[in-house]
Amino acid sequence: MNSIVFLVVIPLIAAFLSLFLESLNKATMYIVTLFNLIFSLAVLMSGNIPFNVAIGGYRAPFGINFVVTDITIYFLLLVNIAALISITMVKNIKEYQFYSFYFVLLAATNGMVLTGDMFNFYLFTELSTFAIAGLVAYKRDRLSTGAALKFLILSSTASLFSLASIGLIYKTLGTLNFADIAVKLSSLNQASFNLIVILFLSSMLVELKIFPFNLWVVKSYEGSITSVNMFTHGMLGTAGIYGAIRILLIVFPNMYKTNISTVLIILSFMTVLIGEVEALKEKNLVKVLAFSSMAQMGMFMFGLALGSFESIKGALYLVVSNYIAKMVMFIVTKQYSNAVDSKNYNDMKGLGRKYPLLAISFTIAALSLMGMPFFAGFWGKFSIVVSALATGKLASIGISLILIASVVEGVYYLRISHTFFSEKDVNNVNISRVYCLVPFVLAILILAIGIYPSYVEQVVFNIIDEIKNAPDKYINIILSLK
Amino acid sequence: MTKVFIFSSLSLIFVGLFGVLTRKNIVKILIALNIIETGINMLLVAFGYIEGGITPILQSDLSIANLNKMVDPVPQALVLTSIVIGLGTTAFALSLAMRYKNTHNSVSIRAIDEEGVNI
Repeated sequence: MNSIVFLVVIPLIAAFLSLFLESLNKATMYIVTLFNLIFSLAVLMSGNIPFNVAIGGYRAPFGINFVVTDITIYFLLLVNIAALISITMVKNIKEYQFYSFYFVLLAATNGMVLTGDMFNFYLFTELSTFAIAGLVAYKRDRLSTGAALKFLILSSTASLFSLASIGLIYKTLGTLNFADIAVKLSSLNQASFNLIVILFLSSMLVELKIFPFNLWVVKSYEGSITSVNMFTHGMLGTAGIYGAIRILLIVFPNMYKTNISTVLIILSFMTVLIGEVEALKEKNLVKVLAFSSMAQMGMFMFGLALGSFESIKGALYLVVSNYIAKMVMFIVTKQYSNAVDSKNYNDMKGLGRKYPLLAISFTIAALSLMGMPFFAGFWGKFSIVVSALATGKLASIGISLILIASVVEGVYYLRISHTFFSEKDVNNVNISRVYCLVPFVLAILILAIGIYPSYVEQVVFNIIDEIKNAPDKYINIILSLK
Repeated sequence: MTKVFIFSSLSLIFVGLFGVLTRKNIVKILIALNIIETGINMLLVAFGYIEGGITPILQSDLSIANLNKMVDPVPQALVLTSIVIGLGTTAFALSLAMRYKNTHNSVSIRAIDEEGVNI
């Protein structure tokens, strides 16, 4: 299975070729994205999972390796599906810079998910933040230039700290391989371990949109076009979540014995609070979505930081529900705001009556994010609350916070849905019916997951199983002699 | 000697961090970022340094006999890569800064602008 490298190499080649292809760029974009998606599906179907690819034949702790396990392949699929759905929103873009940055982003996010090496992970993270900054700046106006510059400064400062942490890991443990670090970590003293984890988390939290590092989100969502919003949410966000799961749960599991998990819980509370309160008072629909995705990431972090398998399961469900729901909402926002030429949802009155499919999809996504029963998000919040009940005092604050957050989300999302359906004459508005179909299919998927969770349950079970049996299912695969 | 390297690199990191946090001029922020990066690169090289070490190149019987005196080549390879990444960041950020100057008519990161953004 050495050909797994193509997932990174072919988008990079395409990024270079896009300088010369001019009008063929859009076709290339579809071909490369479809290739990545079909290739990762083929890997899933092949039945060879798990396997380990040593690049250049240097075996694991000494060389760089790509690993494909259950967690990897599911997140690979999520990233590539997000890419495919997002590029359907790309219209009338002729500049090669956009396509070039997109291919770099595709390569970097695939690489982040595949790699089994700390320094390689840092490189791919840095590359993906470059690409996102470039894509955000695509609109060339005041807002997008400022947003891109601020995101670039924030993320490169944070990633320099993670580079320092990588240096410390190499100095203390003499290795950069994920599996090897996980094995040798028990010999490390507490102080060095804390320093390493704190420094490394700084770059992780930027991508996870957790409180002290999340103020780039709003500006860059507001300043960029819809497809770039969906890249940030679906590709960079999902790859960041993968990084958090892989690094916090498998490489640094000792974290749960220290105060760092408590700090993470408090940071996630702050994230939820700020996100929900700001979203409540916001009138701009894109900014509402930005704040709401911050809040969702806060809940994900809370589930992850609790550290029990039940809460991790809940966090994974939240990831799936947020992943689909935000896609739907971004597409609906784009269609409606293009139709009335305004991003304020008060101007979108009456559109829900003329194009009910879009408004109904938005409402289903909103109900799922709120955590209503029979929608995908319910299982996530339910599992997190159940597992938090069994934990300490701090977690019980989290329960009330999650429940209050659900109510607040209900207030602002249902207010928006109500605005869509309220009466107003809209005759001069035209939205192609084809674009109504994609969000509707995704909304049906949310309902299907909510009512028959057994398909997703199986996937989540596989992921939890790998986390539980990390030595057997991840570490030994990499370190065994081949 | 290693300690001198580590102390000087740490001081560079903190000088750069101070610059990033307090300066308002974008170009100065980018210079401060480069100072942090130099500090961290020096830190990485210092981690692989051995007192009285020799270059990690196998060329003659003499060098094979002195294998344990060689400095660690891995941090040097990492530093080489991170220098390239830093060059890319700086070039890209500077070109964004030029456009920032055109759109905002200022190089201050706090240029009053962007209606509706309170954060």
